[in-house]
Amino acid sequence: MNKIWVTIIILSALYGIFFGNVEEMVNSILNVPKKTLELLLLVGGLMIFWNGIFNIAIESGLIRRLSKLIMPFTKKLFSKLPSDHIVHEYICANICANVLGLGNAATPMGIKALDEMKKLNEEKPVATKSMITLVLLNTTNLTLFPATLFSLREIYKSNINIKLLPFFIVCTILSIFFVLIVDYLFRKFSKED
Amino acid sequence: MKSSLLIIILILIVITYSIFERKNAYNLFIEGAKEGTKFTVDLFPYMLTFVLATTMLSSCGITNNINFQISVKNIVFPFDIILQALIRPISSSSSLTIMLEIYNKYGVDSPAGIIASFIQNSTDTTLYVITFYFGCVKINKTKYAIKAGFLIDIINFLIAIFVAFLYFKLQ
Repeated sequence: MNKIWVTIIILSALYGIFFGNVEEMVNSILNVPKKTLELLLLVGGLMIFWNGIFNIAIESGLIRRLSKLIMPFTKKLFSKLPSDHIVHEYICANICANVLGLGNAATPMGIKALDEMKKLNEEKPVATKSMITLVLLNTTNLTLFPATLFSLREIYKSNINIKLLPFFIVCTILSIFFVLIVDYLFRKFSKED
Repeated sequence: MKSSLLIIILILIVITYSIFERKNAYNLFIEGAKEGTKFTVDLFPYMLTFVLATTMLSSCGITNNINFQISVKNIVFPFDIILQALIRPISSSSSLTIMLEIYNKYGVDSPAGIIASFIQNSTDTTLYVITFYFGCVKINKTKYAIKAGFLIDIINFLIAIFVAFLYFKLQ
């Protein structure tokens, strides 16, 4: 991140000095904190709000109930793990939280799942194929209803949100599909486990 | 029907469920919001860095002079979108900042705004997720995880563009 940031800043500064309007540039730079604060109020306010709502969903057990629905699928996907082990519950909770767009709630569940998998692998500091499958699922967006993004678009007065929703869902389904394919191929071509 | 209705329904379901389970929704909301507040305060410096970088980039004049644009079938990809797509797997708040700039510049429902939304939603901060997850459980041999993660990012980016075009075509 550092390299990208430094490159953009130096490049822009040099270009501004030689070819651009320095006066104008300085004016915009001095406006940066104000602009950031405005963006933060917009995004941060929404995040705080959704975090509150979703905390109710987690603590009241709504997520746990939904987790049970996807258990049969995840048990197949993680068939290498003992089938009545608690690790499956963590995996389901992690995936469910992701599907509902609760990134922050998903992380602790995912880490608990990885921890259990590591115990099953005799505490070796090596990633197993099951672990990588779970982490890869977490690197993509599994969200079916992107609440924060939609709220943002609503604030920007979008008129087509509801028309876009099915396309977001298609996007998510396609990406889950491809994650599983890529994961399968890598599993197949890597020898050890 | 507007998507605002979906948002209200979601809130309603969550609150109603908590009543059935006899939980204190009020306290739970505050607890969650507190956590979100901490997160937001931490977010400020990260956003600041990227607002600074994008402001400098757009005010120095380089983007006007190069006029870096790719257009496919009348749909213009401004430079910002390419920048956003490159940054998305590395930093979520930075790419979010660029997306909001695109909303401001071209409009939220413009082709550029729509593509930016799909890109923002297409993936997570891959590198961070992989290192964070494995770091937390002290695993240092991650095998093919990072390679696969980046391959998936490229695929997700292509899916985002593909689905956006599908939307344009069906309108």
